[in-house]
Amino acid sequence: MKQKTWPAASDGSHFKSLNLYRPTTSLFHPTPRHSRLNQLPSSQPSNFSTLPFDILTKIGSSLNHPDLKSSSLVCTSWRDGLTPLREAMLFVMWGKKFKHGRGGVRKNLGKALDSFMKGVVRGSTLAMVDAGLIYWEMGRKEDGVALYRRAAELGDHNGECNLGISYLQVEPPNQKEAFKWLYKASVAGHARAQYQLALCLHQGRGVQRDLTEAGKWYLRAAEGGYTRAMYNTSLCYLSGEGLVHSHRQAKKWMKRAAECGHRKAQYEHGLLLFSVRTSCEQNHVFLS
Amino acid sequence: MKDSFNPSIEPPKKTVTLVSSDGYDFEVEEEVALESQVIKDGFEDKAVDDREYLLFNVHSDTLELIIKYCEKHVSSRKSISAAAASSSSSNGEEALKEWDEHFISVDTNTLYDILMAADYLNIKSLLDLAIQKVADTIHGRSPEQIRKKFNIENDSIIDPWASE
Repeated sequence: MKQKTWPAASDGSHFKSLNLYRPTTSLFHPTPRHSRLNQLPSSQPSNFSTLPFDILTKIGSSLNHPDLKSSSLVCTSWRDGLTPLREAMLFVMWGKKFKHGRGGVRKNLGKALDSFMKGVVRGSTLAMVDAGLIYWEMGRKEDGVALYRRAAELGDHNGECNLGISYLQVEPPNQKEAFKWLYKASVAGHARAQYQLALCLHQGRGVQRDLTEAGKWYLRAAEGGYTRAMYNTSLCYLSGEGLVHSHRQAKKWMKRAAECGHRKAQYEHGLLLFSVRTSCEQNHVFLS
Repeated sequence: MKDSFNPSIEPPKKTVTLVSSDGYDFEVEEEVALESQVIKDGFEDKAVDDREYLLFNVHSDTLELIIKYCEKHVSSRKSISAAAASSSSSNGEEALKEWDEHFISVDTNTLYDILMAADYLNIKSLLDLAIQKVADTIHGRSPEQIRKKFNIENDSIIDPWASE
């Protein structure tokens, strides 16, 4: 694999940095220069086509299949740099077939894991999360967590979320670590992580109990389409715990949760339709 | 010296000089410079009075941005841990996230320079931020749109999927 050398700084000469003369500016900040934006006409090709392969791999590692396909068609250098990840994507596809017994393949967890691991060595975070999941289901939790961690450290939000959740489920749980990773995935907009984060805040796990924060994250997860969060959001609105009391909002979210197939929500939604406000505000159990 | 009259006053902050590829000096606080793993690694080996780092690959325009980023992160970390000590909620981190987002919303060439400098200086959080920005920009776009976004020339490549 040919590795690109460090490209020249965009001010031109390759050897400028070796110049022994230095202007003796003892200023804390040098005099402001014009921003680069003004110096370079936008028609000039950027250096992005010369990205070193290791950085290209990092960028590509968490791209989904369509995005990886598009990036591979951008230019020759990107195509070559992304080759291992394209291979990884094929292994992930085969892994999924073996895992679920789809596409004319008989279900075989061993082969699925094999396939995912081939994706892992090629740097794909999708493969890491999938392989981690199988290890976790096989009861080899440590191996699973190690793979989640690898994906999480490469910035994969599914990896962060799964790592956070597994910290809650191992014995003994590490709630502080769990909260840290769930938070990371949550601010990036990962709905499942947001729901788990809200639960931590609601129950005071790994962090001080904070109903307002919990309500906020339930709502965000609900807005992100996470069904169980819709249910809990509705309960928050109904009780005024964590979110400002609103019967209308409670009804809205209960309806949505019901529409998404949430059994309890379907029942509660039925009740809400006929309810007098006060009577149904008791006896709701938050789901975890 | 003033310090001797007031023992509670903080000792003067240690500084490090970073020199950009085009020869400008940047004097920064030590802890700001130590955000770079490369500088941190080199730090222990250095003689005490040698506090100058020549950064051959970082232009002053970029270095200015990098320092701004590191300064912000050092100061935010302090205020976040102070807030955590007084058990208030973690809004600081969200504010920092927003700041990051704004910081990395730059034109293509600047993004490239930040990406390369963060890699060279090994500032993990900044590298992650820049990489995420590139990945987000790629997301949902066609090859032609990506080329346009990043100003990449179409060198009429062969479709790698055709052979697979």
